[in-house]
Amino acid sequence: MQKETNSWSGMAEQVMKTWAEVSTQAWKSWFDLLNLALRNPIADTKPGFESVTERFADNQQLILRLLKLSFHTWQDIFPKIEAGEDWQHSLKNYTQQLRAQIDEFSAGTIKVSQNAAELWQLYIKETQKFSQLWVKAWGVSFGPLSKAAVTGTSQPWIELNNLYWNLLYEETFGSLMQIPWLGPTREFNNKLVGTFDAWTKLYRAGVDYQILLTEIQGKSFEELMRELVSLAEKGEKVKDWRQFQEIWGRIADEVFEKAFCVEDNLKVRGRFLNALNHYRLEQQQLLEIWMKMMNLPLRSEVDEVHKSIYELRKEVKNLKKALAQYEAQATPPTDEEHQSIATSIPKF
Amino acid sequence: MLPFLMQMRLDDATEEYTELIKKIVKGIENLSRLREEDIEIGVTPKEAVYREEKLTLYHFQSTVQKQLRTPVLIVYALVNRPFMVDLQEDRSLVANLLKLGLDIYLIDWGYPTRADRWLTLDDYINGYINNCVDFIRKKHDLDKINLLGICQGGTFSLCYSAIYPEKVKNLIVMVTPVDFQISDSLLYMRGGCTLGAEALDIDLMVDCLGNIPGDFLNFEFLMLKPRQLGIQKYLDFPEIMHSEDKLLNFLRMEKWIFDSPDQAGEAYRQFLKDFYQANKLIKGEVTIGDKQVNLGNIRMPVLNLYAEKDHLVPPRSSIALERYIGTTDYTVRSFPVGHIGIYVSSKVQRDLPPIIANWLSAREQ
Repeated sequence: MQKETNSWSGMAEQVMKTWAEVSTQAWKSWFDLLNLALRNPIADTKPGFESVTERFADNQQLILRLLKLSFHTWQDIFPKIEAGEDWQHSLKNYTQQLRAQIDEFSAGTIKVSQNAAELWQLYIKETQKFSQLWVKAWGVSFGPLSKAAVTGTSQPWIELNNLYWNLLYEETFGSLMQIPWLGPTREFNNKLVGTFDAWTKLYRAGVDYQILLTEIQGKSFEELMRELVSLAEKGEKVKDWRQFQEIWGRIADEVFEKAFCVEDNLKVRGRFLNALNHYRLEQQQLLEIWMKMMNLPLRSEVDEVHKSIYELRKEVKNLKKALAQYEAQATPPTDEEHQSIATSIPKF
Repeated sequence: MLPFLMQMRLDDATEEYTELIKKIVKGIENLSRLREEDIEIGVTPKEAVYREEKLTLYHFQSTVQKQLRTPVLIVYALVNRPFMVDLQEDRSLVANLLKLGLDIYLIDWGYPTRADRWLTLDDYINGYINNCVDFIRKKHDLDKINLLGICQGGTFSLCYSAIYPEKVKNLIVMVTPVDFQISDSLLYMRGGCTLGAEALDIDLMVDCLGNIPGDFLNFEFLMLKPRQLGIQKYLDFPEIMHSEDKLLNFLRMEKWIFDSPDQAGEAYRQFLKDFYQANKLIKGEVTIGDKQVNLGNIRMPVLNLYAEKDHLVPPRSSIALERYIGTTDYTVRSFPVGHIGIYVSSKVQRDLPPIIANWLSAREQ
């Protein structure tokens, strides 16, 4: 019996690993889908958003750790139920350990979030190449900017300004230098800082959301164990892995549904989605500055054109309808009316 | 009382595993023979009779002598394709209604592109739907026609019937959201029915994305039951793939689920903000273009059909309709299925079409 149990333990662990991998893939796909609408039109460049996706997916390892912990608790609980011993204590231990893991994870990320300089470096590192033309400037720039956070002086910002002026503006768009009113540095810096701020909020919101999801996953496993115990107590057998999967699926979704009907949790999700959209909007505006300089059509311009066409099309439709109504109302004059009109015209 | 892990024997599991492998091998054989055209949906013969930009109005070819003079216009949701009502020959609401002598039209909204991001609900309801209704009225020389609105299309049909009651003879709504303030519905809560922009800032989302990607909506729907819809059904897939019929059914459904048009940004903005977040429909505060929607204007006969296990449109949301419409001829019927089951369940497909046909027939004069 012990041998069989061990074999099943191996299989169960494998199932959990697969579950975690599938979940990871599902989340990754979700981020990828969200990313679809903002495709960088420049080949070989990589929007920073993708790195957020990757980090989120990487951190699913935490879930795997929690699942392993859950499984070990499960192994601990069942023999106790069989022996009529106190299994509630083991479940309580599990919950405490789960909280501890989440706290540990949360403390680590919050610590990073509190240090703006670290965040900036992380941002630059993860954003990678927003545009081939800017990468050099960015690479050199994060040093002085980090100093800004530490020293609290404006000097590093000025250095950064100069960097953009020298590297981005002079070197890359040297020919445009002849036109003084094109100077983009100030505008660009403002947008860059705005994007960084949006990214910071996204980073924090992402961590919060991930903590919440992890907690929900842990909770669903806890509920699964309760359900299995309850079934066992009623003498109802779980016949096979398929049935086990069905129970697990049902319980997990019930816990998920309940959790996201709670407003506090919804707010966490909302903050994440809103931060994500805000970041993408900022990123898009940043991209438009560059596209403008390269004389490329902007998305906002295309939208404007579409809006004009839409409004004109609507107006033409309304005019056509109005014309059709007038035509329907206007009946051709009778012969008598014709004659009367003809005689009423004064002759000169 | 043996715990789950110890209830199962390794040799039983090995046998189960072997059976599963056999099914998978057979399933792969089945799959290898299938091509995309084998899972075509929207199979009932039809003719495109009216087009306007990306919209196409289809008229289905009748298979029997028409029993009712007044045609029925089916208004489907903007989300997903309308051919769920005509999924396959033996699971087609349209085909079953045709067999009962109804004359059926269907609006296909098409696939909005970036150029359509400025389309509003005014364009959809006062524009497209109204133009289709006028086309059918003119073609049949009738003042009024029958409307059958499904899901979001049902909400649109309610708005339309409230604005143009003189053009609607009978109104049927299926799995239609009416009251959006349902705090135990995950979809409504995620849409911000209690928290508004704190749950989802629609303005920001539309400003950011323009049109809302169909894939995003798909994934949001999957996330209502992430494990069952995202994982479980694929784990069950080997169990059905050995049967060609079941496999085809599964694949057709997959095709329908993931063939999701993008949502025109401005229309999506208004729908989410006014309907989901502010629940304006039942308050009489929705304005479509320059026209106020007062559900009290709906005085024509109304048939309300809903699914008892609907996880997308909770029954409470649909049956609230009775409290807000002005008709004295109101019928409500429910079916013990989910949101999708109402179109595809064989039992429902046996019971539902006669209910619709008989109800319309009784109000034909």
